[in-house]
Amino acid sequence: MNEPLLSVKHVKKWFAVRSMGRSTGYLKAVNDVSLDIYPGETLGIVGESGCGKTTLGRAMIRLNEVTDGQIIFNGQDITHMPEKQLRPLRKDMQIIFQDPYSSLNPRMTVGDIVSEPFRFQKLYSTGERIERVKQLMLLCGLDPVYIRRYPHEFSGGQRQRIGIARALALNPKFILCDEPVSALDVSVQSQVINLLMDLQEKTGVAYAFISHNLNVVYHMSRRIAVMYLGNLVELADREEIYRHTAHPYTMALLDAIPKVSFDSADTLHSSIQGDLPSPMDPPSGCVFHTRCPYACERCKQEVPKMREIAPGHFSACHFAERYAR
Amino acid sequence: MSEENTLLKVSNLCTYFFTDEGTVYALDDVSFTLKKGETLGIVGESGCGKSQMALSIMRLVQSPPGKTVGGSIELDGVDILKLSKREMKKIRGEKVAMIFQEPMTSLNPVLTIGHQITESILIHQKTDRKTARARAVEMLRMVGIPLPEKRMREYPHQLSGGMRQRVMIAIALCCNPQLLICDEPTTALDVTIQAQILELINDLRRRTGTSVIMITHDLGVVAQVSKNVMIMYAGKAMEYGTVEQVFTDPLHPYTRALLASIPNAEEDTRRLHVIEGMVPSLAHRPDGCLFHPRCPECRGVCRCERPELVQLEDGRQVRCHKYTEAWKEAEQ
Amino acid sequence: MLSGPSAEHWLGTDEFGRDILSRIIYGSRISLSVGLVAEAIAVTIGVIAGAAAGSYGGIVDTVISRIIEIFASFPHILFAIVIMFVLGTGVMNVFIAIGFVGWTGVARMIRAQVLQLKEKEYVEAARAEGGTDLAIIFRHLIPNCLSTIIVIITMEIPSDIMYEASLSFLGLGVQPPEASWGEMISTARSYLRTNPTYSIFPGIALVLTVLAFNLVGDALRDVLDPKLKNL
Repeated sequence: MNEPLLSVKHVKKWFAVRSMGRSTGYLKAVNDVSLDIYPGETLGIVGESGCGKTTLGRAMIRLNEVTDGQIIFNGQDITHMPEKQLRPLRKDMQIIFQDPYSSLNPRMTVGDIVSEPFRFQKLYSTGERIERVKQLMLLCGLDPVYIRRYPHEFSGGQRQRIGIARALALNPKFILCDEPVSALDVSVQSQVINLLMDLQEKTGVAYAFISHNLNVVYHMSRRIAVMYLGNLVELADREEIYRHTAHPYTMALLDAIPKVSFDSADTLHSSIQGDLPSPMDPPSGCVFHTRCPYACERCKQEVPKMREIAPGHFSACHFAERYAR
Repeated sequence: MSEENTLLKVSNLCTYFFTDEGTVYALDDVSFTLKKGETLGIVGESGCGKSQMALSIMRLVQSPPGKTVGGSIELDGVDILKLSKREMKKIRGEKVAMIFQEPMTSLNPVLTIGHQITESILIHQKTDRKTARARAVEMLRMVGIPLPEKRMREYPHQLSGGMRQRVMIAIALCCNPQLLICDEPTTALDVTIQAQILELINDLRRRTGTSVIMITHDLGVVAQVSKNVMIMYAGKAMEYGTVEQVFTDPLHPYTRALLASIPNAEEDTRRLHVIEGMVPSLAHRPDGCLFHPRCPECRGVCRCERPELVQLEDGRQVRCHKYTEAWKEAEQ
Repeated sequence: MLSGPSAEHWLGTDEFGRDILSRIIYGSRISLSVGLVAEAIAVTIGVIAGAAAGSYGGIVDTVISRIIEIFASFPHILFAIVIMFVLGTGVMNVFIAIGFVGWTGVARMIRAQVLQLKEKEYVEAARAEGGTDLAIIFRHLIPNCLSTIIVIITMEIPSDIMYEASLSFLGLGVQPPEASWGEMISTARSYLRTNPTYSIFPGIALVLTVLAFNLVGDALRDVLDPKLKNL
């Protein structure tokens, strides 16, 4: 396979937790995660709230500083690169947000919002910028006559399109999509998903697609990474993940999705019990052992490593082979 | 269908909001029946009026500007729209209970869990505090909260989202209501927790014989827990039938499009089906069928005439011109 | 010399026989400009300090916050008096003294709001686009503080006018024969029993001005809110 566009190597992000002015411990939001994203592909990142997927995503494009580890983008180590040096590289990595409301400055018009990247990167003249913005609006399914309107005049789905147009403005190689459809209605959600996929076909941009919705991630992604409590637990091609699931947590996630089929009514069963443990005080050994139906003594003591159990299929379970589907 | 088995009969319910920008038709001519011990799913996108349905049945529609202007809601043969405020207060909690999307907003943050459950038992039942406490512990155990005695002394913020929703269910069920209305009970929860809560609701319904109205935007959730389903769009019921009927053979073009637009791992389609356009504003509704501007099968009659609910032989109902006699004649 | 309203002098004359109406009109120059200029100074210092503290955080925030606390721990009027003593009397120094005293409130409110705005996703988007800290502060943070700033200005201008009056009363501000409303009210205090209209008319001017600023503030806030545009 060709060179990865973005490599995350053993990244840790710990937040110091203070109470009464004293450091009382660390919140291990991301704990030793490594993954690669290749040009033009979509890597889905799934997990429940508090699993560290958003923190990891922000770290990928250096909106967060990592505690430890390395982030390599396009062959350059950007982990501790000074902001000034990083600025030209930012052209190639953009972000689309979850909340279509707080992601757009209410005091700026659509034209200002979408052309702001040009301003910051000092590209094009004013006239050219307006032309570009109009093209981008068309590309994202917005009527360019609305260029002077303010965000509040649009619906949630249209706002999300404005956010996408802004992210595409600099023609990036990589876009971090942080739950871009979670706040939208089903019928609008499918419009935005299709738009994102069309744009990928046209521009060859790579996505990291963060979501808690496995169905959406499956639809969007080529490969899927599953996170639990700050740790990467499984990573594989989407078919592999679905057909040959090799981590008990992924199995639980898959089982928990309510299926739109009638025969499962009244046969619903949740395969894992209990709540997420606090990331302040994660369990010893395998972080999933407190909820895992297969947990044994070894899981409580020994931290499982990510292992390649089949070509391109990684799992962090001591017994991946035994329980794999 | 035997009449005495019916718990709730909603007929031609209309709830409007009278605002400065005109009348908002939040619920327009909605009817359904719910039998004892059954679950009805009400599905729709945001702004389709599904939450107003719950509030109308509880008679908690914010007024002004909202008002239930027509129709009847018969609970056990009594039209609750005709009851006095006092009588309604007794119905709420004792016969009908409700749980909301965000449990944190319905729990008082400065009182312990135990205090809140005990209070709601004392309000509705004539018992002493000691019995009420014992009942509260029993309720917490029933909804699957580990170490209920310990939890009784804790405050809402000490519990996780899933646990709080369990507490809400315990409070809702402590007076053995006949009807439990769940308004997006799992939307704020993670999938693994959602599965636990849905399982709990199902299990409790089976054990206590409570009827459930499950209001959600998630078609998957409805498929899991309910027997019948009503699809709502812009304040009107578009389709009604059993989950099996509606999900395997959707009749209304809206239902069909909605089902097709959900990404599904089993059927791998590269492009998702898209419903063009947006949900219409309930204050400025289109003429004719409310769905016609987005409908791929729209014809002349759809643009000018509001469709009536068509009753089909197998008990299904659909609000679409396609299934009327007139349309079939025109086809031939 | 002192007389009540008459056909010749509509609002009467003062102890030297000067027309009160003319002095009120003349005094409005100082009273109004003290409000505007002093508040402009206060807002400029306050917004810059508040935005810097809020957006940079860390040591910058700690230092600025401590300075604000030190300034705010003195009674404002006392602090203004000290500055006036140092700088000497005169209209320009009144502006500076009042402006320099009033910035802490502005800074504190702006800091709080910036801390909130900083978490908004559009600020993160601007950083991802390669926006510099200054660009983010001036394009995203401060414009969204505008309505707060306007509310502060309209609340503070009347109190600045009052400070000017107090300073003039103490003989530190505007020096006779210059006229300002504050100076007129303080002088008229001695004639309150014999000739109440002398103090009432400058007082009415003061009240009307305060009211007017409040109304303007309300209107400005509505105009500047993009949600109310193009409706």
